[in-house]
Amino acid sequence: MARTLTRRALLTRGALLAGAAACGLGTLRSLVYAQGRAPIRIGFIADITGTVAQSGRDMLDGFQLYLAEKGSAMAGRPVDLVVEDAAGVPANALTKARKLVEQDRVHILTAPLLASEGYAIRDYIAERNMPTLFAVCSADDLTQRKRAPVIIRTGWSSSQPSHPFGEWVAKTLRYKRVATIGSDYAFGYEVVGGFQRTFEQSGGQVVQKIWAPLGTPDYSPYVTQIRRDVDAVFSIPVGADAIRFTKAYRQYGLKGRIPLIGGGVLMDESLLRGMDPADAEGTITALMWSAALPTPQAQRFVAAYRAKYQKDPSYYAETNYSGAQWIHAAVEHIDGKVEDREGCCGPSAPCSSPTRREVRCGWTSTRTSCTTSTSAKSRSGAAMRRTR
Amino acid sequence: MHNIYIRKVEVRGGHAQNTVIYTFHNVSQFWTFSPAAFLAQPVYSRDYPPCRYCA
Repeated sequence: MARTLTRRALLTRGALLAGAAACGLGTLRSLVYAQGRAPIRIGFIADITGTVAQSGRDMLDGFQLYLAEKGSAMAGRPVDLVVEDAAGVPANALTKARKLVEQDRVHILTAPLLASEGYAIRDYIAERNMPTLFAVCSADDLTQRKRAPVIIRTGWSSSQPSHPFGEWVAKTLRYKRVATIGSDYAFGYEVVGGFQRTFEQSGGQVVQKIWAPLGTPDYSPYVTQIRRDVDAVFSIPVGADAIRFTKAYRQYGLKGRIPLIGGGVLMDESLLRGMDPADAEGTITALMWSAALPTPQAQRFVAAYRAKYQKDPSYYAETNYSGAQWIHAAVEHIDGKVEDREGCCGPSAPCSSPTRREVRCGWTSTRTSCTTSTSAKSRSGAAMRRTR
Repeated sequence: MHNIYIRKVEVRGGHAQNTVIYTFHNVSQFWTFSPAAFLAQPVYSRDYPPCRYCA
């Protein structure tokens, strides 16, 4: 197979190798061992321009941090990371996926950021039998009604945090009437839908649903529509929209009058950096990550990330750091033979997230994704335990 | 399967952070629903679930 190395990949790899040089002799030893062996090519579709650029940048930073820590080598083979920017546009994501698979001949692909981008590449990667890591892209149906053997989801499903959150808001906060405002595409629908389902099952009522396009430049027309006779507003704007929405929410006098709650990415660390703290303070959201998690694994990761990038790691960074570890575990499991597609997902090799800890399953014998391979029985009765 | 953390933004020294105030352990994408029953429903969309209480 002819080796194609783009200029960007060369620069990326060069940067990784430079970073790795600071990681000690153990890392250097693996680097030396990896010399002379054919590289493993990982295609990384990032959204590092456009509305979700800040979050997309964090995805890349998280992935590259892990590679740097490992000397950019897996199973004795060097790793070439080939990065392409889809700018948060589904049609671009499909174009970039085709380029990475057919021109760059990558062995493994990582999915882009947006749910709509994930749905856009789904049929293509399934047809090409291309193992693809979904660390961020959370479109529900990719591991539900449209699951495929090559889809490896180490991240989440959009509605996954919303289900417990809806129940918690009704039972703990005792809110009865909620208005929702969400981003007008698949991710917004799934986050709001999951919340509405369990909130209403627990006695609450969603009395208004507003949708705003991704990339809304001015939230004034939407914020002014929000009903004032509700107990709370559940919101899920995405990317820079979250900054603009929370700004408008305070400017129009809702902040302090109607509690703001929402999906986790509303207050993701990649966006908190750009918010006025007064816009954000007090907002309650649900997600599987927080940079303030007190666990040793999380704190070690947070410290390493801050040292390298001088910013708090967002969920986008954490889940890509973890995703890189999952790829590494899988590559080691098959002794680096990434060209062997049939053997790539053999007997389960359980590993856990280095930061969140309780991701349980590995690459399964049926090659289904992580989240679909968990049984309903294993979670029953264990869902709710208070930590503080 | 993930832990799902309920986070509240707190500002300390001018720095905003997501403080964890509650944890749901080992949350599946199907929550407490039967996977078969869950998958028999349509995927969440602009119109599903319908807004029964919208005026």
